[in-house]
Amino acid sequence: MGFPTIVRTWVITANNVIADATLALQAGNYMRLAADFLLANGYTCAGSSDGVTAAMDGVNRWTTIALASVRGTNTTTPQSWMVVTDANGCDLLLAHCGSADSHGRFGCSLGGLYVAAATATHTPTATDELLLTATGTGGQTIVGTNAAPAQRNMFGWVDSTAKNCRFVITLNSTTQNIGTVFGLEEFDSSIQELTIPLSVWGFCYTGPVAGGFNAISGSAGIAATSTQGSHGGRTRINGVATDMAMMQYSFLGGSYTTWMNVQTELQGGVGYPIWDPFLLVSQTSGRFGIVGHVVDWWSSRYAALGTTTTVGDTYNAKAFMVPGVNGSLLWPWDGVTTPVAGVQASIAQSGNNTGFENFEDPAFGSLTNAVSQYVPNPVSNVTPTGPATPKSINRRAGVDVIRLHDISADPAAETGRTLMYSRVIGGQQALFCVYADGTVYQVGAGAA
Amino acid sequence: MAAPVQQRIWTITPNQRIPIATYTTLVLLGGRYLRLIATTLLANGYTCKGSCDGVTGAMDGVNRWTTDANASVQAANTTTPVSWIVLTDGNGCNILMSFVGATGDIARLAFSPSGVYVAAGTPSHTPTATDEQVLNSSVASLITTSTVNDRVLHVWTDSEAKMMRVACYAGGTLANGNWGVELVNANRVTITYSPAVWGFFFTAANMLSTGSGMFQAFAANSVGGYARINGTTTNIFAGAEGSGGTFAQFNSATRLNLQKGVGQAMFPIVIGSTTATRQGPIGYIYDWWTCGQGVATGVGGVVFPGGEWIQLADNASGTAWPWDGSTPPQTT
Repeated sequence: MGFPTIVRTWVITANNVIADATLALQAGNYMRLAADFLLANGYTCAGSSDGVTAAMDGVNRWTTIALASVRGTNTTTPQSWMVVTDANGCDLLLAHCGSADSHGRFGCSLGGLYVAAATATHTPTATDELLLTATGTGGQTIVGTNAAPAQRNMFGWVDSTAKNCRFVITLNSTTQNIGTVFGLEEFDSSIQELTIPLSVWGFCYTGPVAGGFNAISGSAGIAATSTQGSHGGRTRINGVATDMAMMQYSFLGGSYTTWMNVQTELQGGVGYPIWDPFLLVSQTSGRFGIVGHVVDWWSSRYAALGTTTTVGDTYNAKAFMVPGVNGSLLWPWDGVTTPVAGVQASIAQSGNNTGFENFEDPAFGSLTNAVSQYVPNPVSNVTPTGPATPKSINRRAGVDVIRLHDISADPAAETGRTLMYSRVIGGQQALFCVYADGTVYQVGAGAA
Repeated sequence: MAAPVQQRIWTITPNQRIPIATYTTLVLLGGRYLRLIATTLLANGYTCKGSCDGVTGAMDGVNRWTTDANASVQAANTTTPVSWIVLTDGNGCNILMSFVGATGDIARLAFSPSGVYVAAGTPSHTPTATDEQVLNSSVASLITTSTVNDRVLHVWTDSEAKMMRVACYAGGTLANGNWGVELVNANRVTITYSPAVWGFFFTAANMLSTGSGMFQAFAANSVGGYARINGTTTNIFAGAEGSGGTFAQFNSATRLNLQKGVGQAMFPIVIGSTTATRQGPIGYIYDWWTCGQGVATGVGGVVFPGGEWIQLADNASGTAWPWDGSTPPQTT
């Protein structure tokens, strides 16, 4: 049995009760708990509003839940808001904004450019703002709509460098996600080849069963095409706002759930498969492609609601925790605390890191059309003997480098051909060729 | 980024033409097809375990397919004298080609992972093996039923004689006989799986990087393959990276801006099983990738980026096999 390596060092705030209250107070409490947790772990307050007094002056005015609970119908209405800055210099906006008391408006500025609005109690603005919650001038439900009495439970994660944070809220009576899951985190962008000055994305998922916080749905889960506020996240790549979804291995016609409720025998039957970190991908025009990997975010067992998997289940002696209903997702946990996400008790699940190192060997072919092939007429039709004139690689426009991958032994001679290859012999890199008669010559050698 | 690096060292014997003008019947075409495959494998490290020319058969190491006619005795079933040959690869597996079928474009293709084929009680009948895995049980057409088109056969073998795969075109269209017996990079399997070999058979429609193509559930004589894992016959299917519930989104015609826009994505293909007691992912298959939709429908056999890979199927979302970097592939 094996488990993924947790990349970051996480500080986790667990089992925070959001007590029965009005939806406005519960929404304010959720945001305040998040803000306080961040401010206690390396984030700084850029500014705040208690609905009456506001400024981007570094003062945290959310000293009580009530002061975080003043809702404005839209961005030009007085409201409670807070902007915190992480160690990357990114700003995260939490605003009690929207058409209903359960609503909030979350956004981020990767350049840390939030400024107070002309009327400071209104929602701050940033020229590079990436709104994470639903589009428009309002917000979306962040605590669900179950009216009091309906206790919520809040969980937060922040890494030791104050560069990654994520938050989950559950409904105590059902032990299900509710409201909005959100975060602002670094990702591993080494896989892509454009300049990303800052590999940070903000994400926002609706948490309920039918929402986007799962790895099982191709149409609405984390692998579905990003829908702002519902599933997916956003970053800026070379200045362009880029919406992102996740990608994962898929089988049996497109299913993500293959083996997700089986302790697979081919891996010894020792645990439910845990798949490696998801890819972040973009279908934004001009930024189409593979963006990177998420950090410390895996898939896990999926079991239908009401069976055996729920929010708060743990793996590997509480080193990992299931943050989403029905399982299917896995985040780090603190190794000590028993998660209390609701009335259904946490279960210790058996896991096994059986995922593929997805994209360990990425490749992007240059699939050209028939016209641009350097081989004449690739469909060939009636050229059984090949082209009449000798082919040269020089005929392929744009070739700057020929890459020869080292081979471990001399290749067998081939009739009518001279083979060129690269080997390391005695620690020395060298280029060789073998003629058709089997003679081997060294063509060039590396530095002594 | 560039196209994938080929993991195995391949010898590709391309463009083996079977002219309709010479092989005027399906049976003659089929016999030639089987003999060309056998000849290619024998020239690349495979050994003959036994054969039958339809009259004389024995598991005696003798290749009796010395003429096309010797490979062209077809039978309706496995208990009738037939042309058959059993080859042994570098894994010790046996590969059976037996010209059993209702028509000349059909044959029985199978393998024995532990190499235990023996001659039948009547040696001219199709051999048997206790661990036999039948890739095409005389059901699927291998070379089409065309009476006007040449067939063009391409055969792949690796330098260790542990991998072989076959594709055939007729009239510019990929035929259904896309099959092989190959070593697997079974890096996800922790129970005994030796030799780590699978045999596969994909019809042309199932050589596509789609959920209704290569990545659908196993179906005999159509899509997927077999392995013997810890003594159990295991049905295998393939998968790949998918997004939005489909495989097509990043196998599209759009080049990846974030990867410098040099091409469409190619993803490695992985395999796994849901066979009871053998469930789970297995690992990567060597040198078999998804590829993007850069080719117009109706155009197969296109090589890229410099001829190192070939998209086989004549559809927008094919899969890629290695190519030799120089030879123009023929499909007509």
